Amino acid sequence: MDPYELSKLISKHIQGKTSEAEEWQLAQWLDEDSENQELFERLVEAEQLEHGLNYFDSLDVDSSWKKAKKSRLISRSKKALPYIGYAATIVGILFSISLFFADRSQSHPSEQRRQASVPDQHPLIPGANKVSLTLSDGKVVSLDENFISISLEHGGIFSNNDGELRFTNESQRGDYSHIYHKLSVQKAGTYRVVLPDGTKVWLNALSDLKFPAAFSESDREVHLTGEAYFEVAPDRSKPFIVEVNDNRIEVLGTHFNINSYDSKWKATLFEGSIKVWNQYGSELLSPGQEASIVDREITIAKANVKKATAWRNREFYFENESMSSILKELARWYDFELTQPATIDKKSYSGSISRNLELTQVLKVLSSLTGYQFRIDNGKLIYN
Amino acid sequence: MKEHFSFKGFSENTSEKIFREYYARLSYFAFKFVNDKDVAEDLVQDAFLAYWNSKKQIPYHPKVIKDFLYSSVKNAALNVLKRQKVKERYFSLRTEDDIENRSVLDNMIEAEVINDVHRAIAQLPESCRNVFMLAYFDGLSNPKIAEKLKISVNTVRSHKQNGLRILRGQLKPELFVSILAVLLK
Repeated sequence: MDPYELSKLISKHIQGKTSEAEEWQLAQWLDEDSENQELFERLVEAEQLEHGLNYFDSLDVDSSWKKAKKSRLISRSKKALPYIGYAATIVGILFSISLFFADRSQSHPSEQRRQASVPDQHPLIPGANKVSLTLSDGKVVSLDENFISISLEHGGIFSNNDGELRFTNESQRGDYSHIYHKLSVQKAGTYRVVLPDGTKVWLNALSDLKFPAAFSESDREVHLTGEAYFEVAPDRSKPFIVEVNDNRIEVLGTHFNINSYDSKWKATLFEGSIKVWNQYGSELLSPGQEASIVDREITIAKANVKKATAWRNREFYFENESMSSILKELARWYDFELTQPATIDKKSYSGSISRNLELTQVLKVLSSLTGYQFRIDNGKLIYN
Repeated sequence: MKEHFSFKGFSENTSEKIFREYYARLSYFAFKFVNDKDVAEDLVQDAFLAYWNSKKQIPYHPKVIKDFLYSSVKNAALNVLKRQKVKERYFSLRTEDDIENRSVLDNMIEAEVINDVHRAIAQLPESCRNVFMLAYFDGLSNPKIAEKLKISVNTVRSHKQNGLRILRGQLKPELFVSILAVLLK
């Protein structure tokens, strides 16, 4: 459990607002180690708090900032940092892992741990938002942190509004509902965009959203490949439609997630209602349900909310998945290619990992917990 | 102040915001390891420098930045400890890794908790805060506070009450209990 989550958990407990599952989590944590109990008790102890508060009071942040500003100017001419070290490398984020990988099919998981052997020279950095916009005329615009706005032909404007991408088309003349722009998120990125009707879309890595220069008179249609979470702005006169491959999702209400990386794709509904269509029929979903679509079949089941929301919480979440499925998901976020393994095992694993970790750290952990050995060779992941 | 980061890229303003947001808690965190105020503050200064030098490679997200800064400070602090050979205090009974991870986690949580409490108290209206500080951190009785601030004892009492009420609204609940513990000492 990461320390920020832990603090929240303790706080909820004291307020009496924890759910049963959260109480169980807290109890587990307290049980794990007598030191956890000590910490817990210390956090509500008076003297410790007073000591801390006095320390905070003794700091002079203004003069510290002045000092920092000055050092920054000097450091730009490459002064060595006495404590941190000269080559400012990305330091490991060691304690934000929360992982409970359990090898379900083996009875003595602790006895056979092969040594981790992951070399340290690949700082493959996750999630450094890379997005591009492909205009209807084919031109590609890269949207980096300095992007402010771009005017599109047919009167639309795509802008970066305080961290939020917005597509507006106030001055529309004529019917441009058949002209599309496409927003593409590359590997290791997530992006949020607001459409002209106020609908918000969060796109996960390796996902594209095609949207028209202007919505038509009768509906609001977008095309998705990959994964996105939608919060659709209400408009009864114009249903919101998401096309995924050859399927459609018709939105009669608000918040849902679509995961369509593979041939089997899933729509998870949080709020409102959606209708899922394939060529053979349709199904209506209620909140808390998810639809899985494979060829002819649309199967409705209770939603795995944790799984569907993990990416927006900057986490990977696996539940009874094979190693190859886990690695496929990692391959969308980190900069490597997947190759076929020497042996494929049928074991299933569960766990969650922060998406903010570097690849080498993730692989190290996976390695020590599962016995797999990983190696990055020329951008390709090799494992056995 | 909410931790709000916009996408406009790094202006001088952003750097200052980030500095001011995290400086105090990181200093406290460092202090917990090295027990020397000056050294602690130097470590934190270096951590920010390291961050600014690497910022293009770090996802621009509060949690990631926080983690990076805490990590930098932690590593630097542990290096200092090793150099100072004070490790006997820390590494006596267990393996280095155990102690390291434990202290780090505990100190981080503590730094976060105290940061919130401190912020909440600082936001009390001045009259409230004065009474508050005198009562709970200097341990003065109500009559003594009244004398010192030249107000009535009733006023002292109501300031204390207000302070509590405001803190209750501001603090995350666990912190409220902590401060309550201090108050009821």
